[in-house]
Amino acid sequence: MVVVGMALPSTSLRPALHELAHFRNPAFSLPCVLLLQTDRNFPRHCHTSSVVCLAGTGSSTFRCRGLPPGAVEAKEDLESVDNRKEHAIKNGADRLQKVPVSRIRNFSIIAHIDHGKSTLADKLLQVTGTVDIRDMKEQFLDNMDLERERGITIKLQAARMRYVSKDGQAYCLNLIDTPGHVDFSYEVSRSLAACEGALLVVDASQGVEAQTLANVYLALENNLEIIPVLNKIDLPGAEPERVCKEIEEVVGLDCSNAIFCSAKEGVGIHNILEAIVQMVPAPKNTTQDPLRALIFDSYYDPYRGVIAYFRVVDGILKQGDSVQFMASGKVYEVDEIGVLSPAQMPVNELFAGEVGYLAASIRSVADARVGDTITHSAKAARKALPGYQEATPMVFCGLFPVDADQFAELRDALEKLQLNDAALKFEPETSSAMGFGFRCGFLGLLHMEIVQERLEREYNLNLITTAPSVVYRVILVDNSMVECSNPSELPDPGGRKEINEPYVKIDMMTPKDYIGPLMELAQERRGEFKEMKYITENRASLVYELPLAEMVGDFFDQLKSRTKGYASMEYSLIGYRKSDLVKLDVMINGECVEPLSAIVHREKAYSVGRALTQKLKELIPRQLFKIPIQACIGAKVIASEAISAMRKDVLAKCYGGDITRKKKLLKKQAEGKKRMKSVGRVEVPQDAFMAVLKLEKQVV
Amino acid sequence: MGNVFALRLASLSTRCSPCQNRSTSTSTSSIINSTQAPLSTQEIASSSSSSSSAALNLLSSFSPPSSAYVHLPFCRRRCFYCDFPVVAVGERSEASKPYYDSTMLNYVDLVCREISATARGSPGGPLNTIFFGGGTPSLLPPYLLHRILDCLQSNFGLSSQMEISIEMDPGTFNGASLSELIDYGVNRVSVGVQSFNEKLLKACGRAHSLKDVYDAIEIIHSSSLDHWSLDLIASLPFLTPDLWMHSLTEAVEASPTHISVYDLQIEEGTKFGKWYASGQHPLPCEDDSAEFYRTASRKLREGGYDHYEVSNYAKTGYQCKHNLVYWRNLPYYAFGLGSTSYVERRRFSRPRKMKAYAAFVDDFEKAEGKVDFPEDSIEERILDTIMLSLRLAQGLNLREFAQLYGRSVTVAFCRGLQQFVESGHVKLLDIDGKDVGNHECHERHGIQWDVVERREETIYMRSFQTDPEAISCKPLRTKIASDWQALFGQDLPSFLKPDTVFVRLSDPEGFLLSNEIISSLFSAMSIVK
Repeated sequence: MVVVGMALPSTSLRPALHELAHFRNPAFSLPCVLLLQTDRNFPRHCHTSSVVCLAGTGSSTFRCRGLPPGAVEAKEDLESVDNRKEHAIKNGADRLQKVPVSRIRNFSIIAHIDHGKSTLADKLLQVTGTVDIRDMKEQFLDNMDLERERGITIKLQAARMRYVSKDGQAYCLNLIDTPGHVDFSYEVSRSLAACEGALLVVDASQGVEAQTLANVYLALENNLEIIPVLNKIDLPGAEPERVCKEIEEVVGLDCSNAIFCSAKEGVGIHNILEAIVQMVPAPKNTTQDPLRALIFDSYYDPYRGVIAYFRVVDGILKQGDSVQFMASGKVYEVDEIGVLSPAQMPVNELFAGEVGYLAASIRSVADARVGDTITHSAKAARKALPGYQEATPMVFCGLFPVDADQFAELRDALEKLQLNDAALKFEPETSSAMGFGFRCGFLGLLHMEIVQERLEREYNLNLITTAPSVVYRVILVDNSMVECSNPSELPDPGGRKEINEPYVKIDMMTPKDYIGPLMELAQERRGEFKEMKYITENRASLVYELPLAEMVGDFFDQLKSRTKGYASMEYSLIGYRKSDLVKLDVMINGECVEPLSAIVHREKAYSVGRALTQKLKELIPRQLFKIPIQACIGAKVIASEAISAMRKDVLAKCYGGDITRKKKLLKKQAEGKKRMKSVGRVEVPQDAFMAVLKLEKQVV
Repeated sequence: MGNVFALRLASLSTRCSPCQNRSTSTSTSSIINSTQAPLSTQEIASSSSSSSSAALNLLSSFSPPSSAYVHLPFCRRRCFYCDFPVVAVGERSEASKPYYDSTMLNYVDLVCREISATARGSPGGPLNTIFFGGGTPSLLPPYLLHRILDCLQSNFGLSSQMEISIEMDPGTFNGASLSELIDYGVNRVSVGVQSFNEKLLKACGRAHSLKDVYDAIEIIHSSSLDHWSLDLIASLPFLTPDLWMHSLTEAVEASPTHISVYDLQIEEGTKFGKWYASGQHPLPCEDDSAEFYRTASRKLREGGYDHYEVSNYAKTGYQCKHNLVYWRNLPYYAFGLGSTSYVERRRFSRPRKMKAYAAFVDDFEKAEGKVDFPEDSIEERILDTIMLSLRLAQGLNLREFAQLYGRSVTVAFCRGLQQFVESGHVKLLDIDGKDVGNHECHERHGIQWDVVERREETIYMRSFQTDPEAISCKPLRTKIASDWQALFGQDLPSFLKPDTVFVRLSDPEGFLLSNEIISSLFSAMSIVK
């Protein structure tokens, strides 16, 4: 018998063995071998409740303690699982084989962040033999380094799998993986439009979270069949039944056939696959109709041009076809079509219902935009498919290269990123202190952070980011309206009548213990209380309306830290409202430092001004002269500090033996000056900008 | 443009050298022309054979050294602030005597072997200056010092006007040992007093008492020694303005010909480094220690000393010639543990541990006195010139700088200077060493042109200084102005007054911020590359 103990901390080894002894089946005469896998990610409090025994000749899953009822159902006959697995792996290699449209299933997985979506996707790929075990790595579909490191999904991904169901038929399953974070709900909506069904994955210990709801509503809007899946039932805190009730109450989804699973331990995976086969409707068989295929993603490949990912809705697409993109009107000849499994695998034709990619030496992404419909140029469809609403940036910030020489590189990098990230917007911006850069628009803060990090990592750029801001609408004295996202472009106080700022409705879900701290947080951020209701006995939902500007700061971080990570949130834009806003300027040695300017609420201006000047005083090194640092509203100084002049910086000795070493010190000092930006005569270290911008994010 | 200027300068240096008849205009101009690009070794070799004084001038760092530093690392104990390569040997007692003497004897043998090997690999001399530093060189029995001097003489020769300095600590010498040293040729003594306060001496771990200090001064006064220096350390822990004033007063009272005032540097790996943080109690804060520096500068200048280098003061004619070799970026030999030499444009540091040093000497002898070490690049020499000459009151000779390193380097340097000229931390001096644009100003800058130099302009100026009426400086001033115009053209810095020849840091404010200023200039120079 082979015993595999998953993630057993050494301290719990003994009880584990002890419990196993009880369960030892006298029918097995083989000696017992204990293999221990230590897995850092596995919660330490997970003791013996999750010991899984696999026997060489056939065995069963033991769940020693804290056995949730659902898990019993999830228990499978491992002998047949083994056989099926073998079978599946054989089948996996055949996944290019065609199946009738009635046996195609297109589905996506929707979940709140961290509820185990990517792990489940990994397991599905593995169990269906789509990915060889030796090629398998965690978060297989998240192929950006950044996605793996942060454990999140940013870009949607697709994977075609072949699965032979219990009924003996081979099915073609197309999984379209989606990001979980609220910033990327745009990506989610795109992938949902290409599917007929969705797995709703909910953490069996955490229950329904804000983004669960948001994503469910998106799926319902798209008329998708939703299969509830309760994940992580192996955790000691798992309460799948309670969470089922929660889903039924909050989401209104029937959970009588919810699947209990542990993606991590591979429990219940086959049940999920069966459920997909049985519950997700097959695409409509419209093979005879004129071709219509919806582009749900595209990216630029330097060798093959734009690669479009699409779902064939009607008709058949063949390699070599001449196709037209209905929105742009451009006609191209298809060089290559194929499926994503998850690597690109060329095929000759794709039928209605299938998901695939095409390459046609398309030079510009604009020719094959996401949301466009592909049809045959000779036999065009009459009406294009409904496209997607274009993503509108909600948060703006300036991106400047630290080294002015990198401006051109930054532009190229942004252009390249935009090819794969339609939501990213940018335009050139000039600033006296930062030089040439770009004003960029993002879907949210995470999006902003991700773009910034990708620029720095993938394109080797060193960037300064200004404080994030939102788009204000300024009503001028002549009643005309201008939009302004950059504090330095705010019209003069004399010229403006009022400033309107975007408001969001924010929906927070939290265990009831943290209602107080969350209300406090929302109050601090100028939030207006709207409603509070208990979802279950212990969890509540809080609704506030607050300015987007207050949320783009560290609101989400604060929400997490004040609730020990238990609360979740979701927001939507609800329009513009008039606010008493002022422009806060920072003056260093009498010079206004534009990148540090911010638009703040009048009541907050003083505390923000004080915090900014104090931070700058800490961070700007003494210089040859005294430097006043002021925060002003217009000409009025509301906070000020001063850095006294440098008194002494001298090397006492410099004799024969000292020269080399002293020169090294001076060179190092000179090197430090390179990382300074001149503000008038004052040298301001890069770090000071960064720290102040961070501070602005926190307090503005 | 640069070449035109180079030619002009070349002809200028020929015409304006009344005391120098050796230069030939052809060879000079050819060398100066080539300074637009870094000089290759070949050019250097061929030009130095022409024996033009301009060539010597340009190639001064490549000419054979005529100075030698000898490191004698023995100390009774290590002071709390010291990070020098020293060997603590304790007090010489009856019991420790055999070990004590043999340790020193073995070391002197090593040094003498290094000297002989060096003379084979990089012959030079005759020596104009020798400096015995340490450590505490006065712990060495005079006869051993004599051996080293003999060895230096036989290998390099000594010039008649030479300066032989030795560092001595109070309590390690008496009248007899001093006069023995004087007999061997030592003519300059540098006494490590550090403080005139008993408590402060203790606090920094000195091995001598305040009484030893006064005794040492007495011994020197009763000797035939004419030239001696007194070292003080400023900003010691627990130092107060009163205590500092007292030390300065006592120092002036002792009437040495030379005073060094070192600002305490907290080095990693020393006791002080472990105990104290710069600018925090008990160390004086930045403002206080700046004030100590200003006080020293004012008080010592009032006492008749010229503030000729950041940390050094001297009565007229008593600057330390040996140290000026370092600051003028001229070559020098160095011998002994952890010492650094600058020979054939190579700055080479010897091992700081005795065993490693002994091994080095073995290898060095086998290699016939050659070290495998890269030559300094022209960029490094430019930085050396800036760093070292700006520490001097004489400052940096901008004309010579332009001649040596060309137009673009000079333009970058002047751009870097601009803000400091405006802030008053950098002063411009004319050919007489007076503030530019202020001919009435007779303020002394402690400039003495009478050492080591073989530079035409300098020699010209010396004759000018000694006899102001002898030569009219008017044509030269006009020349300088037109040369700047020719060099810079459109880029002529607004601050550069027509008769500017030297740039220097102001005293005390510029000196006080010398690191900040020099590193800014380094940063300005990095644009050129």
